[in-house]
Amino acid sequence: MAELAWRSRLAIALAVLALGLLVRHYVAGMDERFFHASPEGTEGLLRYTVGDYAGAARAYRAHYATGYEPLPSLWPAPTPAKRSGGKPPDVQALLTEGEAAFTRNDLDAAGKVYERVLAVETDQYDALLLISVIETRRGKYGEAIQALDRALRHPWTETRISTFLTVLETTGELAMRPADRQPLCLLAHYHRYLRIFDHAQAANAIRYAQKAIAANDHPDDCWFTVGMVYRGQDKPHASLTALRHAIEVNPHHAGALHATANLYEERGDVLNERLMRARALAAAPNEVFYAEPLLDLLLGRAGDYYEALTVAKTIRALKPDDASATQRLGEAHMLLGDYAMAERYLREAHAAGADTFRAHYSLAWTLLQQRKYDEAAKEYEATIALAPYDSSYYLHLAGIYQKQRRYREVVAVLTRAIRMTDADANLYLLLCSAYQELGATREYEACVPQLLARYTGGIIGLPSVPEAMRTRGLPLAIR
Amino acid sequence: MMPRWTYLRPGPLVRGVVKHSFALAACLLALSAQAMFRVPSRFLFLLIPYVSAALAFLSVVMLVNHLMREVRQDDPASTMIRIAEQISGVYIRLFVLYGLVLFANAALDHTVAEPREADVVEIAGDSLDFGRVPFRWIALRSVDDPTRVERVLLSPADPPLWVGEPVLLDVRPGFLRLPWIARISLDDVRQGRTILARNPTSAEGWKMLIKGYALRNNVPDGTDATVEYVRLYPADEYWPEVIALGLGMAGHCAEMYRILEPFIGRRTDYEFHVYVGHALACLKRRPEALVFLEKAKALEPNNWWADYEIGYLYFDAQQFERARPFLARVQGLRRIDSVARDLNTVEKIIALKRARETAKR
Repeated sequence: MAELAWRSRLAIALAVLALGLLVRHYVAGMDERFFHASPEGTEGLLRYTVGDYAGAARAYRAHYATGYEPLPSLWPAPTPAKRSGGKPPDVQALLTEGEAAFTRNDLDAAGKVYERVLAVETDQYDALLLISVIETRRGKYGEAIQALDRALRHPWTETRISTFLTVLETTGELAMRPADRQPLCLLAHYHRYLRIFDHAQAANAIRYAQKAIAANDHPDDCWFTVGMVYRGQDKPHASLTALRHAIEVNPHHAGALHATANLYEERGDVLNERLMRARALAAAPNEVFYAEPLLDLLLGRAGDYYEALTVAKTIRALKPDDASATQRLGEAHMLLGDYAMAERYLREAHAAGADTFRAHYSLAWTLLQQRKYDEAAKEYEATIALAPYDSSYYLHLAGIYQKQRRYREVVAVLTRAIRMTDADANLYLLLCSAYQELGATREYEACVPQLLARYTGGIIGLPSVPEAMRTRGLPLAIR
Repeated sequence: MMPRWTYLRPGPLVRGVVKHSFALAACLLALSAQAMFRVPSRFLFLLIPYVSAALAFLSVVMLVNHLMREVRQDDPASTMIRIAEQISGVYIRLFVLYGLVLFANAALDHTVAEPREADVVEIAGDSLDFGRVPFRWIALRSVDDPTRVERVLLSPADPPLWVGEPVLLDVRPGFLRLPWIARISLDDVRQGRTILARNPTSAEGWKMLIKGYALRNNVPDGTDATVEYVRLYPADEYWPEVIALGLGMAGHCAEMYRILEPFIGRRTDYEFHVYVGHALACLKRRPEALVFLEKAKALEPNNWWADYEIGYLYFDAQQFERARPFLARVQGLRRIDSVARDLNTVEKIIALKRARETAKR
């Protein structure tokens, strides 16, 4: 009896522990939007948990209608780039107008309003989701999938909870249809969207996608969805396998090609990344979304500046008012050594609102190469103001002062750098050299041990600190 | 009633806890030794981490078993666990011993690592995405012997790897003649060549190739690649300059000059003239070197650096009278102990020469 009691106690304890862990695991993957302290909110959660998504959406709407909480706006999506023309129409006002038409079941009017939203803000998330719902109601599942794919390719989500509830309701309505009338691939996409807020939806998305693939219902899009769900679960290898299937089925699936390139980028495989990005752009030549990562790759990791220039021009032609596109065109010219042209575009980008540290840095480098040292120093100061914790910008600025033989300024900049950043040997190398040039023997003597403590090898530009290097038995820059 | 202190006497429970804690710690240490000092193998060593993980797990079970004091000794489950414990004890000893052998093999190995080219042909756990499980392994095919495929444990320090990727293994022979892998890195040379085969104008491909040659100390190919890079991207002054300085520091003056040469006529700054002068002086092409160094002096008459180069150009040519004013000028502007010593030597030699000449007369 005693043995049985012990075993029973252990079994019960383990069962309770397992159940607790399971519930915790399930709840931990859910967004707070599912939890509301009201009877309607609780009903919504219960209905959602048992898979009655349409009922859950209605219950959540009732929760907001009872005045427990105002219908909230969610976190804002990134604002579109500044436009030089007149004031664009208010996106939120248009969304409200579309919602009113949608509530009246005037799908044509709602669809037109959402098209206007997209004209103002490319890939506006709410508009794309609601267009997808409209197309679903019209029975145009292919178009609905396209709109969803466009929305889901961005890292942000909708701005209104009402949009989420509409999608949740639509998902529930589709899922409740008889099995032979379900648009399986579309359902997989809706579940992929829901997975953003509830990790447990990944299994549903994959299940619907597998059924759809078996039924030959948009297999390329479904493989793509499987790949993206795995991607969300941090399973890169499984994701890559699914995306490769998508590309096998449809070699021109821009989304799958783009996602595959992202995976290659993560593992540092520049060659395959470039191949995939080029193919993605070829599949959707008018999509800046696919051109921009290719340009970044060509400017940075691949360093193919001739081709970068061509892509930069294409992007600028597609987005003539976009400051970032102009900036990148300037950078392509800069890297090809056409500094006058680079300066022109970079200044144009500044005027159009490009005020990132990268924009200032590019302009500074362009000016430096043209030996316009004072202007370059100003731009480096602007870069440092925006990115004060990166030692390389201080080093560039100090390098300019060193070229101008302004050693006091070199010391000032590098002292600031040592205070603000993880000071490396390069900073101390320049600093010690400057102290020596200034004849500041005491400071030089204090600086050299700091340099030696940090020096781990590498190339030392001339002139350097010969005595310090000799003491350490290092290769001498001089003699 | 027993006095309280008797509870503190180590009984079977405490002894069990201590024993298994010790075994677990030894297993973990042996595992880390295997992951750190990796010995490539075709088959055998692949099993060991898995066996050890199972043993470590079993130890935890044993620990639980000891904590359950109510279980009777003649309980069949208890007997089974006891037998398993004894068998596992033998395995643990073998496994820990093997870990110690690997540790000794690597710790006492003071040889230099030899680079060996290989290709990744398989990554275990690929389809399962066991990204955080520590015992993943890769299969590597040696470039020298393509029939030979060996398996190696992956370590967190390894770069991201994928099937088909060219890698460079730093292999050390091992104190006990068990070759072990000190580091796995991307093979920049082969990766760079592959990139350039498809995209011949990829600047990063060229840089990767040049870095790869530098790491292998392959100066001729590295120089050729840099010269080609300069031809493709003539506006990039910075990268070739870094390579040229590196070569100069290592005493490869001819290669340094070869890289700087295309910029002659295009670059007019002080530093560049000194670099070229330095490279030419090092090549004993002194008249040409002097032209560049004099140009530098004309650009910045108060800068000590060209004087330093000219001073030592004459010093190396044993023209001490000519070297003296330049070195003295350097010393006047910037106190450098080695220059002071050399200047002293120059003074002595000149004094000696004069004394000898006076004696001759």
